[in-house]
Amino acid sequence: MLLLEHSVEKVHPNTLTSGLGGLINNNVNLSVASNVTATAPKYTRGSMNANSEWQSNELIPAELSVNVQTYKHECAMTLANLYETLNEEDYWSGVWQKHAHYKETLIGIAYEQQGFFEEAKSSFELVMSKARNDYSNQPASFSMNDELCLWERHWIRCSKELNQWDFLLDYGTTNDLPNWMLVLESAWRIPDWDKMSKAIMAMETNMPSDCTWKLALYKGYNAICNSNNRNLEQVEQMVELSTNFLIKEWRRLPSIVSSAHIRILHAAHQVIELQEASHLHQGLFTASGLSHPGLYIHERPQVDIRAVIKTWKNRLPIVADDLSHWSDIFTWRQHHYQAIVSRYDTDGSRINAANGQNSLIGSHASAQSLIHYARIARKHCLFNVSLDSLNRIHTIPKVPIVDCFQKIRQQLKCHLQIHSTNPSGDDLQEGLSILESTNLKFFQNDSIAEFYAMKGHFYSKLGNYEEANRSFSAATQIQDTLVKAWALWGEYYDDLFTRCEVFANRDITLGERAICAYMHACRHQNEAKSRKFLSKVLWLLSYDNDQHKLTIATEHYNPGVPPINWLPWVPQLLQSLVRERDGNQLISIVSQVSKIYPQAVYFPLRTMYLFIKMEVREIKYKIRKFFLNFVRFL
Amino acid sequence: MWRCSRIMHHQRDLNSNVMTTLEGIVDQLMNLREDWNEEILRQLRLALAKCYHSAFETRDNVADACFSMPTFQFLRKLIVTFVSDTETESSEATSVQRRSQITVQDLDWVQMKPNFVKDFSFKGSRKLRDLIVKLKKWIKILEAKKNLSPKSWLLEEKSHYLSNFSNQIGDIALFGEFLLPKVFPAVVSISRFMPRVDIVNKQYNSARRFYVRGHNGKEYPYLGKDFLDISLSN
Repeated sequence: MLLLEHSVEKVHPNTLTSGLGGLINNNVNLSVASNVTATAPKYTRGSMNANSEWQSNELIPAELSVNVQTYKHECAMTLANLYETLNEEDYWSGVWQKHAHYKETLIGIAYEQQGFFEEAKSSFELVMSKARNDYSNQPASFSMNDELCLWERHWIRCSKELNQWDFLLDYGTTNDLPNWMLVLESAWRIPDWDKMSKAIMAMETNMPSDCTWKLALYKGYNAICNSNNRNLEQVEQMVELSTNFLIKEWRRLPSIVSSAHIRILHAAHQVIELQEASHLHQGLFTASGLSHPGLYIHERPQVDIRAVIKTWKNRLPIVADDLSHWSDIFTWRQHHYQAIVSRYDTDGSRINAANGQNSLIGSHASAQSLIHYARIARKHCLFNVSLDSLNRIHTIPKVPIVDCFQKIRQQLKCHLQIHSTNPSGDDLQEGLSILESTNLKFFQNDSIAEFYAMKGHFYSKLGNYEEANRSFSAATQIQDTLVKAWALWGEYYDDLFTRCEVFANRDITLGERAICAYMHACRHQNEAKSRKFLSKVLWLLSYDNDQHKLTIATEHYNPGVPPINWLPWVPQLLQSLVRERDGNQLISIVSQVSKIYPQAVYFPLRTMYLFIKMEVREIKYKIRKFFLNFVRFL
Repeated sequence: MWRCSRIMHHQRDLNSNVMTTLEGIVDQLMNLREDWNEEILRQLRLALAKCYHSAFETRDNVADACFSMPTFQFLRKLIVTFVSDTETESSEATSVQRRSQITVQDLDWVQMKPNFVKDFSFKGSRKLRDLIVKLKKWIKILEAKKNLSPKSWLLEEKSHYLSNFSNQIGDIALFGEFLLPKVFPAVVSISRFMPRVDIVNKQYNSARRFYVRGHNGKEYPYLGKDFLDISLSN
């Protein structure tokens, strides 16, 4: 049986399925079964995926019912490997929860699962040094081997996610036996094309079967970017090869698309971009190769460049994808943006408006992609990566002013978010210092206003309310229609108003100002954004006092707000309408909404009307009945 | 409440056409309420559930258990609302009158009525077990009657207005279109009501499902439950 399994390595998945299925379903002598199933996956890892989901479910009962201690660990390890190749991180970490020797391994795995790669990396380093101390005198047991491999693999993964490719390149090359796979993956990002070519040559013969598409892809990368041997025809070939390999990989997986397929989808993205990059380079460099220097030739690649850049801008990975995939895509694009910039910049002799334009496009795209990457890193809570990437913008020589603004904005957001997870005053101070050191002259009015608004926000977080108020008013004076400024000011007043300890002592003027600011923030057609401000307004109305000052304020500032913003809040408005206290003021708001959107208001209004009528009638009936009983009693 | 009516009058003045059509539609939709026998069935089922509940609580001594005062009052109310033709002063006066008018016309009911009254008027002892037996018997009778009636019927039988409605009469948006604000062209308006109305039976309720075709050609099913509201079952 074992021999049979050995020879089944490259066979079509279906025969393997039926073979193993028969084995497991017949419940053959369980100790043998576990041994076989333990070794079988090792051999069939390349082709097992057709029945892997089902098989892992079978392995688990097989595992549980095995009483033989010797095979238990092997079973667990092969199960873990199965999960890892299937990209099922949660299941994988579940297996390791039960079988890890060191507590720090578990900590590292838990951090990695949640995405806190920095902490994960440090805990893996800790456990590695600990193990080194433990085992410096005595040899480690065989079962520790898997754990040691795990540490290395996951340390590498954490570094990848943290964008530390230069570390990885060093790590890959310093050992006596270089880790060519790692070199292959990190060299093109630095970029270090010599090491890349060396790695390709080394890996030619040595590639594991499920990564052959990677080799083709990287050969393609090398062919375009390596200035020594640029070979654009080869790229097409490589694209073909890698697509074929990827399709074969896809076929091996089960037909239900799951997390195992994600890797292939990412790879497909990379292959498409390789192809587009080759077109781009063809456009760029054949233009210079031709000997007619007329304007016509230069204009043609311009159209292609713009189209490619636009496609790339629109085709982004989703936020939930791994940061390493984002870095794959973005680093590749960066190389090309830089190529565009250098191509059009070094054409110093032909001072052409079109050239200047193109290089500006290149640097704008480059800066934008760095900023976008930083934004995604921030959303993943990997703040150091984000700040790092933002600082790299300074390496681009001529950055358009819009990008500078965006860069500063992202930096500030980073600091704010760090502060919210780790509240010490430092990050706020840093943010403030960034704001104060920027020279506001270069920016346009709305950017300046936004800077002032953020300044006010930072001040209010620090507790410096005077300065905050001043900055906010400056912001709104500069640019009246900036939603952000009004919104942040509203939040500031809201905070002050609701912060009071005793309800009776609340300062109603603060509330009025908060409402005024929020209503100003809603003065635009984008309904989704004003939803939260209107909800805050409605909430603040519950803090109203006897003179109904807050409702009066709401009504007063309503005329600027387009009725569409009130649409989701119609039921709440109607409820407040009916309440005795402050309904009068809200009539105007509701009638304004009902003028534009009669049907939206009609149904809830009618329901409420009939409901109230019924209630009133019930009360009247009860009173009458009581009265009649009373009379009868008399 | 007067504020509500003020706004409604306001609305009626402004877009009278739309308002009247809307009111017409809603009134007609009220016709899709459940029948008298379904309603009795529902009340009886609820009563049975309550009885089982109290039987469980007194399960040590079921044979002697009596049903409680609220249940008795509930039964009395049931008899009053469905059986009496006389004017009552209850708050659901109009609906009761309408129902009693309909039930009077239904011959089966007229036959069943005396038995119903006799069964459910408990003079002397109020044993739980008897009540359960009687409830089960009547539920079976009414269920049999219900199974005879068709599972779906044409809209024309109940409401001419709805079946002849088209978007030339008025531009009404689909129910629930305005719950989430959309840009104006994206709002789908009613093109017509499809002729078929299905009866959907759940555990205690029986509801009517009707279909509306929007002006984008797509058909949207709606479920009409009781209590004057309409819900989207899409």
